[in-house]
Amino acid sequence: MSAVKLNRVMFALAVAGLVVAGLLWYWHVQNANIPCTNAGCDQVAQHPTSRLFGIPIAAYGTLFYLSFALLCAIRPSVPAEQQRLMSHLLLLWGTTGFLVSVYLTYLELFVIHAICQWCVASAIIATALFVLSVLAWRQPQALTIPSEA
Amino acid sequence: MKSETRFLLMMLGLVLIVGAGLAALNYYTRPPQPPPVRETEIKLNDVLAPGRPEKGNPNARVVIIEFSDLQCPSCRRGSEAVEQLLLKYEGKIRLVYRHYPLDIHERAMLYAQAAEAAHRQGKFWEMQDLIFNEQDANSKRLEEFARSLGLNMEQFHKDMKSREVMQAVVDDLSTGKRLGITSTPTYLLFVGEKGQMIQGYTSLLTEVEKVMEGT
Repeated sequence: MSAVKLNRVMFALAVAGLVVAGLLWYWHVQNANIPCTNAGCDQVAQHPTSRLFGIPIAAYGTLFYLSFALLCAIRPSVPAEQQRLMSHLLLLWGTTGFLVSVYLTYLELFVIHAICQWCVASAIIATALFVLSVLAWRQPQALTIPSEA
Repeated sequence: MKSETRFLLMMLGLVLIVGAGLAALNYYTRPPQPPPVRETEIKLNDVLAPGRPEKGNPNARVVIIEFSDLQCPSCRRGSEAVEQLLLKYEGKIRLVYRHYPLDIHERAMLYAQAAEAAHRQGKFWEMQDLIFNEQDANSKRLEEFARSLGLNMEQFHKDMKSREVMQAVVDDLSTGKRLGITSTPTYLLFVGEKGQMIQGYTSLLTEVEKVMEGT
């Protein structure tokens, strides 16, 4: 996959994650029933671990995906000599998201004993972003747009 | 700025604008807040669940189902008011408690778990009173409460973390949400099969007095 396509796929995934986390945040704030095929989503949302410093975890998730999407968006405009720094940043952000997702999934499985399908969707997206950020980091070619190269 | 960046930023902006617009639309088109006291079609059997904490006369014709949050100051005053009603009309009222921990209260769920764990050892109301007395207790303080009530601490710790206790709280919460409850304390007052949904304890006091005057 070319660097441009890879960047677009990461951007699309980050936007999908932004939608998932944003919805979870909105439902959390509204104290609404979360659409779910079991009681797991409400169970996870009401658990004390669904907040950090009084702020819903979904809010942090929303900021994470938004910043990831922004990084992908500004990446093509960054000068060639700073492209490496951008891929380091993406890798760092992708790894952070993945590790946090692993920890949150652990909490769901072993502490809350419930599975929230929206959280699973977010964990899958975060894992995919991590894998793609590794690929982007390993890619030797610089991110250049064919029409503008 | 390259066209690729412009395109991606436009896409991101579009998603954010549509998302914010939909959230605002959803927020501002919510149904208006219902009056504090209203007749309800809900049947008593729909809100009774086995194993919920209760007191008063189990065969009383007047039944109060209390949806309460243990970190909510108004619920504390409501609990005192309901206690007065139970004393005043001894043997004429049945009170059933259901958890409704609000998201805005950081420790409400923890308190609900502690009270539910105490309920497993027959000390729900005692734990509720201790929590209401302080309403800022941390986990360590909750343990002190449990110890002062003479609970089996090993069992209490186990229950606090158990799936069953969490499920009981979540079931109450889901029932409350299904009934359209948005604030605490909210009461369902049944006289026989006829039910009313009442927000706030002052309205409850008025309605119970009306009922008792009529009987």
